[in-house]
Amino acid sequence: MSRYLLKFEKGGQLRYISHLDLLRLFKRTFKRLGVELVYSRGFNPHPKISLAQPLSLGYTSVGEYLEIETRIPYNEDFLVASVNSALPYGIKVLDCRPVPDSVKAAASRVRWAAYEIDLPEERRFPTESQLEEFLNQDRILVKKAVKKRKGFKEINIRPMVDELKLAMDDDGKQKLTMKIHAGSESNLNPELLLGPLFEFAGIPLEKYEPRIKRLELYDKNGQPLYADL
Amino acid sequence: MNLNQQLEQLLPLVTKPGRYIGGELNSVEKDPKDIVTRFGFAFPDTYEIGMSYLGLQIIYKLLNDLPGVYCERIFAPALDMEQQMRDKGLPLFTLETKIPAKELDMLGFTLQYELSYTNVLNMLDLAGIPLKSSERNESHPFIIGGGPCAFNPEPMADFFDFFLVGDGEEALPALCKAHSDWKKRQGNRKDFLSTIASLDGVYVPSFYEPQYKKDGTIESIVKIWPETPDRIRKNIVTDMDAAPFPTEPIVPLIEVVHDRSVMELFRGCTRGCRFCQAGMIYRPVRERSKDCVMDLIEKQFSATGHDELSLLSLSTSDYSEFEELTTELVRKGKEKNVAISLPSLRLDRFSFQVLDEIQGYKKTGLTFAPEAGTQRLRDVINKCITDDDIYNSMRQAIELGWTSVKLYFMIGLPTETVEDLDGIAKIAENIMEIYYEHNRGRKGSKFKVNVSASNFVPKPHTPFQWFAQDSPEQLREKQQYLKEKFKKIKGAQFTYHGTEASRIEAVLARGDRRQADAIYKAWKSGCKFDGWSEHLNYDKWIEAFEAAGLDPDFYTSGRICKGDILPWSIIDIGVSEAYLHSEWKKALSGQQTPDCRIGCIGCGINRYVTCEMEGIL
Repeated sequence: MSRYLLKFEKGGQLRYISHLDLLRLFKRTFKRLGVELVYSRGFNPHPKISLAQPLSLGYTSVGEYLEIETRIPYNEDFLVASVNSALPYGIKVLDCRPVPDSVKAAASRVRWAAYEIDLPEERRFPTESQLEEFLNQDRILVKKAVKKRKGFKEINIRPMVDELKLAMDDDGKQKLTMKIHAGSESNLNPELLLGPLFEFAGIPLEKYEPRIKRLELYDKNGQPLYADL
Repeated sequence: MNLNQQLEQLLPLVTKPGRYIGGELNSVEKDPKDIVTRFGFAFPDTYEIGMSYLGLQIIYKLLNDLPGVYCERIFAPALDMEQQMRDKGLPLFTLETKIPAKELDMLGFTLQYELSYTNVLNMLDLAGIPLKSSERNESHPFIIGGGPCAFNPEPMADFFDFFLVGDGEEALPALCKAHSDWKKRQGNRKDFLSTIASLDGVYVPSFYEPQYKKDGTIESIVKIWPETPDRIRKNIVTDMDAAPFPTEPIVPLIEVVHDRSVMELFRGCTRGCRFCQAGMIYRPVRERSKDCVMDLIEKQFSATGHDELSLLSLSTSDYSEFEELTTELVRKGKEKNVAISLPSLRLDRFSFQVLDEIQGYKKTGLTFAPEAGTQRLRDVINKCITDDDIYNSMRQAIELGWTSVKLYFMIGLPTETVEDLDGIAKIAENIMEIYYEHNRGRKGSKFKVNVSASNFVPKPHTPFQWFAQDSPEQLREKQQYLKEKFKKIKGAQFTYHGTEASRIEAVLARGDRRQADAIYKAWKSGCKFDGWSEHLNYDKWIEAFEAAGLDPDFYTSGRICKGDILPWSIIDIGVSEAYLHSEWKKALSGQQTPDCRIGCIGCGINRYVTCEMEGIL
């Protein structure tokens, strides 16, 4: 049995398909290609395939990870080429690396995620000093929906934020980047941070305005999931 | 801003935006400049429902296989998307190239159920296309109707340029050929319609005008254009092995109702249940050979990567090589990790063996459709199963470890009495007894009997077309009666359908051309997605009928059928009216008619085609 970690990007219209839809898409793709995934035992066998971290509907990403287990070893370049030949426009595998047995499942290694936020022309970002002041607060309290109780609880998200800064892209357009908690232990949705930030800076922001792109997923050492493979 | 850019702005604002993006595996891209006929296949419901319909995949493939023809898909936008589209002035568009539906040459709606009629109007309106055929001109697409409801096209006649009745496999290519010729000679709209009126299965409503008697029944149907046929004979594909079948079906990116490969084993049914429209209008039975079926399945597996395959037909177990096929399929499924699902099975020993093998310990989804609670009523409806059949099957199921069963019944059937309702409860009770017996008398039960009762809707072209539908009050009373009875049966659960939806369905099913006004008014007052119980607005429908000067009761009571000419008499389904009438009579005297695999029962379809299955048993 072999394990592989595939890094891929998700963009275009495909950003409108959900986490589960994406997983189904990959399952069918491997099945069509005849890549022999390992199946769980029992009467309802499922292939061993998982995405490192769900991506919210509507977000694009250049740093997604898919982990698979195969019955026989495959050449990594072959996997990249054949999967790409079978994927719809909008998803592209960038790289594939074998995962040694000693390395834990990708989904359990995720601790941080980096995002880039783009705004419509007419909207402006907070200034550098506003960002600094915002982060200098001891507590940043937000209301988070609690599914079980169908209510809200107030949480302090300050410890979940590592970085928050302005950047310039190649076209000279301003963007906001952030590195925040992600994964099963503690997870922060970037929009949950954008709300209080823009409110703090006194800038109006409609929910649908920010275009959010995930840049990378990091492990507990702050290294991309790929770093040690 | 082009349509694509406008759409881009809307998608973040709506739920399930994946419905509107297209770009799925096996969807077809063609260069529009090579295209003569741009065809839109329109499904008057949401993407998830439309994409689960095999007919869409069949037609999509056969049209796109034709050079010079490009078939694209169009679905009804959900309410939130519709609102956004109307607010921003975005017209109804195709999924493939995102062009406005208005720019197509032909727009074909599949009419799968009567309660989708208002969605058709809503979609035409969203497309900016005049609703009535009489208001359209050369700049508009031809609006075509097909599917089972085209067998009574009259209620929607004013809105369609023409209907295509019966199988589309041969009719659609012929239609596209006619369209391309017409385009070359630059004819007008009337010219095209009069050319195609001679094609099999084409009904051009504007060439006919029904005259009514005082009592509302039809006096005569006057032909406006003399060369148009007296009756429209449905299209019948005779060689299923040669018929196109989608080996590379479109695989949706988002979850749809049925996320699986589908294989149609055969068309038609020989059982002759007297309430069943599909059993009459799709005659005769035409099978695909086992080799053809296996070959198509193999191709579908490799083109889709689906992990489930479902067999489709009206009565799967009737397939002549059923045992050989399922044995082979089950083996193939295991080898490829594909789950096989077998709907509409007759529950005999072999079926249980197969189900046992494919379901393993997850024993769910066992269904049984006795339809009526007593032998007497089952004789009336010609559902030829006995109490013994039911109980023997249940005994086997319980022995093999099934823990639940779902039973389908209809209430409001012709001649129904309180004994028949009691019979429904009795069957559930007896099945629980069988379980207790098996469980050595212990009553602590894990076993569940789920009984679902739908309301009888008399359908055109069936022996029951002359019967009345119970009033909503009668139906509700029967539902309540059963609900009370079921409260006392431990382990049994009773569910039933909305009576209002059934009534509207019945009114439209046997509707005549005068209903167009009522349907229009219902839509105008906000009715849409009427098939979704949360959206149906019964009061508005009734008001619309009143405003149009029509009495819904005229249709549900069956008074519409008192005349010699019925609104749907214009459509010739191949089955003779004499046969339907004799079946109606036999129903009243509780006489069964055997399956015609035992011997020809004279339904009349063999006047037009050979019945391969006639007398094979």
